[in-house]
Amino acid sequence: MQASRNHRPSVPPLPIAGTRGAACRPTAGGIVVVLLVFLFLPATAAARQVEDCFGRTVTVPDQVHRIVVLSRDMLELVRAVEAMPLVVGVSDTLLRDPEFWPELRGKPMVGRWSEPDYEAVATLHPDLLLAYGRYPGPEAEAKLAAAGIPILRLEVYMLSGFDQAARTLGIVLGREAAMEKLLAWRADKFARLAACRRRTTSRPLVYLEGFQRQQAWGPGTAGNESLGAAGARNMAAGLPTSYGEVSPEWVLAGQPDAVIKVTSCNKRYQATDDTALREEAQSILTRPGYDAINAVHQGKVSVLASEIHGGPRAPVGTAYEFRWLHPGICPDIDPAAWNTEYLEKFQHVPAQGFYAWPEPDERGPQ
Amino acid sequence: MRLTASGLSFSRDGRPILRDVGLCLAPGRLLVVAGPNGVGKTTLIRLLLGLLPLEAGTIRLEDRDLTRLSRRELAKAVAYVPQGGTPTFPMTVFEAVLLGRRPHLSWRPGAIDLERCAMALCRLGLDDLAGRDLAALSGGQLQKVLIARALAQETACLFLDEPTASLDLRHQLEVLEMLRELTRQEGKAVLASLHDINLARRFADDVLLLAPGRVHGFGPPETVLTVDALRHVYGVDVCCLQGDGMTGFYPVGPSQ
Amino acid sequence: MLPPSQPGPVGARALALAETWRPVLREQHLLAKRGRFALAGLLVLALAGLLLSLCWGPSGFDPKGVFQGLAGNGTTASAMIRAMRLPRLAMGVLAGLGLGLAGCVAQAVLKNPLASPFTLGISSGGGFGAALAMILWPAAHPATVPGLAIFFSLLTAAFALGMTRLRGAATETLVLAGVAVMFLFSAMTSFIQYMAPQMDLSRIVFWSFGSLAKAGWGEIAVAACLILPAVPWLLLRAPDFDCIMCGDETAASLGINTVRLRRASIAAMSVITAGAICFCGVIGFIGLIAPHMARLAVGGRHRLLLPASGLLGVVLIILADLAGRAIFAPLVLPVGIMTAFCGVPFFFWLLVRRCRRRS
Repeated sequence: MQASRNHRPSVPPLPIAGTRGAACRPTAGGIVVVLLVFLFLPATAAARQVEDCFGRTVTVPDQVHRIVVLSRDMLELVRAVEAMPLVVGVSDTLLRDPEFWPELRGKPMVGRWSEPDYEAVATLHPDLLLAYGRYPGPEAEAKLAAAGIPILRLEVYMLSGFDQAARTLGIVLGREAAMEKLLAWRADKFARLAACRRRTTSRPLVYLEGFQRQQAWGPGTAGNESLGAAGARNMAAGLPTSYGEVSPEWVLAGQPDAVIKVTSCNKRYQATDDTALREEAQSILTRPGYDAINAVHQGKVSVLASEIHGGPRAPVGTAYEFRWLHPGICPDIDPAAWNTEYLEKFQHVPAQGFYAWPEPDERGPQ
Repeated sequence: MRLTASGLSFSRDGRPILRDVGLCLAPGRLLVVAGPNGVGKTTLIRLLLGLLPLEAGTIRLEDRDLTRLSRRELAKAVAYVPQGGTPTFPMTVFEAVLLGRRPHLSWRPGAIDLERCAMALCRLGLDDLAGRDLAALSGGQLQKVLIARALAQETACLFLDEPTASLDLRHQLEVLEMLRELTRQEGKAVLASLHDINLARRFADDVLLLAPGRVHGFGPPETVLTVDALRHVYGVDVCCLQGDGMTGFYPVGPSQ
Repeated sequence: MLPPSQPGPVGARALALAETWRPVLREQHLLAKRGRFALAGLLVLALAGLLLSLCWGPSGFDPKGVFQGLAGNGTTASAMIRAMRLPRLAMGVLAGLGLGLAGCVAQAVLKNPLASPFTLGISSGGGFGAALAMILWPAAHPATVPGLAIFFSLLTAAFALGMTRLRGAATETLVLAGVAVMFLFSAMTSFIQYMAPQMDLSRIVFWSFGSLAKAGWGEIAVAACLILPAVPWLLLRAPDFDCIMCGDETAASLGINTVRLRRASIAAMSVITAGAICFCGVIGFIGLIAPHMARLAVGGRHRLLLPASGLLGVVLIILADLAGRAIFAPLVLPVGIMTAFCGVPFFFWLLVRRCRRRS
């Protein structure tokens, strides 16, 4: 759906010079003047009001032709709706992954994802900057407002609120249909997981660890939501904060049924094997005192890459968790196949890389 | 213990401070080093203690070269009383005096170490201050504590750097009387630098008068501390006063 | 052999004084006894703190469970106590002992009551080494971080030692040089933090908070090899530290080779500090406040002050760790943060007291 530009001149027609009282035939000079006036008219035309992740109203242009994207999740969404040609600048980490982002070759870099170089952004004359909720800081709005560039902050990392954020992005980019396709794919996958959840009453207790050692995912985090969707109980669901270091004794005392680590190893897409993930699991097994945790003793330690945890590809991560935690239930759920489907259908890159260890079939029913 | 030095020289930053200084410190005698400010009295004492490196000259302690002695041996022979400074750390008077026993004790102070400290304290009349913190003492009391420490060190020689600098009349006399007593009764060899010429003339057995860059005189105070000598060295005209059987110098004015 | 020095006061004079110096001796004996008593009290306090921390677990204060765990084998409780809690406490004891001792030595040798083991920049060097290891080799063998931390700590210490070779270098010069080194390495660490990807950044920042949880028995053995050998050497030097605090000249006149003592002390202090922080991260304030609290308890003589400082370091670190574990259980607040919370008010109290003493 293409919105039409409402041309509303804000000044009445000018008296044409050179013809006084005669028939109003425009001269060449008159045409030039009129054109100049229209060129310099403020763009009162076509703006759109959308809501960002904080519920604030942000005014974005009706037609967006140039965008700067800072975060990976956001860029995956942009690519999923085939809006990559709109991207004119990205943050530094995105440029360091050319195999996954071949379209970004030669694109200018605007600095760090948490603190971009506002001058570099302004030089690119984008219509919009897409950013996380908390990064960059609130000063970004002020600095870019001087250049007339709006910032749209969307949290596309969590499971809850993803659909609304994605829809907003779809509207802004003018790609609602393509976004609905992605959302439908996600909804279908989550529905399948929900159906599989109903087939079992077991809700195993899981210690889900984040990027840092002993860092747990508390309430209000993507990890917490993911475990819920996978039919498990998060050991850290009752923590007073969202992220915090927990004592290993508490983990041992709680005797979780499984330990899952979300790792931040880089370059999962380029990986040729799962050695790095396996070594992460190994390092958990050798932590002092951990072998007294029954789950660790029985080898129920798994590792997930952050790429498939939360964000647009969240169903893949949740599916892995489900298969690990409920072996034998719904063996037809193939997270690797879901990942391949996502990469080929929505990201238009060849499916490759290693994102989880161990693959559910390797363990077999237990 | 006899200490002889000859040909001592020392420069700082290329500027010569002491040139060809010689002295002889005999047991049972009080040697006073006198001279104007900045002439090198403190430097001389530091040289004699081995705290500064000698450029030229020799110092012999009973036929042994001072520079060849180990620090510990030297500490058992010579005690040093510096000008009282401000203590940065809390320390009681007794602890400060106990430091003087360091050359003698191995790790923990024995009964004899504690005894000597207590004796030294009482000798200087500080026994009721033994538990007081150093920071609570007056300048005179602090100076006495330092002397007590040197006494506890039980050495044959004693070097004092301006022991009367910040003391009032009475304490000045007390300290110098005590130094004289140490030489007469215990046969210690004492070297002290003084800025007060009258005290030097009254108490010293020998005087080493330093002028900038040279020694003006060494010998008994009557021969070294003369009106002419004071004019040359201090640039001050003095008149000699006598009364009650004692001689003193009264400054008249700067010499022309 | 030099002829023996003249004997102390003899004769009538001495006999007359005999009555006056006995009370002084008696008073000193009492003080010494009090000091020893206080030291024993500190030992008891340290043991009590250890016991308290040992008995506190995820389910609260549970001494019975702890002793069952210690006695038993193969159960969850025994694994928790033996493999998790005991190493934590052992590391705390080593780090507290080391930092307390090193702090006492630093204040004596640098003649500055506000000196700490970190004054010469050792912690900044270690922090930089750890950050470098984390960002260059994030997935490497777990020994790279402590290894580089030790290397750079000792590098800063070597630099400080090099400064002592300068002829005119007084202790103030050493302290200033240490501050400069600290700023240099802090800036370099900040630079690394700035360039690091988000994931590594947290790791680097967490290292600067201090944590007793990361050490297993192997690491504890290494730390013990770094910290413990220097302890008897430092304790033997106690009388020398007493003297050097009064000034280099005084100490030299009392028979101490001040240059050698300072160098050896800085070296010992650096090795101890490096051993304490390389596995735990930076745990601040222990080295600063333990000696002062010890002085309040046992007085200023290093023979008692050094061990008291070490024991108080243990007490402080164990209690800070316990508080960090207990306040927001099961969340763990880094021990370095807890020591700062306790240390800063005490530090201000010390400053106020110093100003009052001066005026």
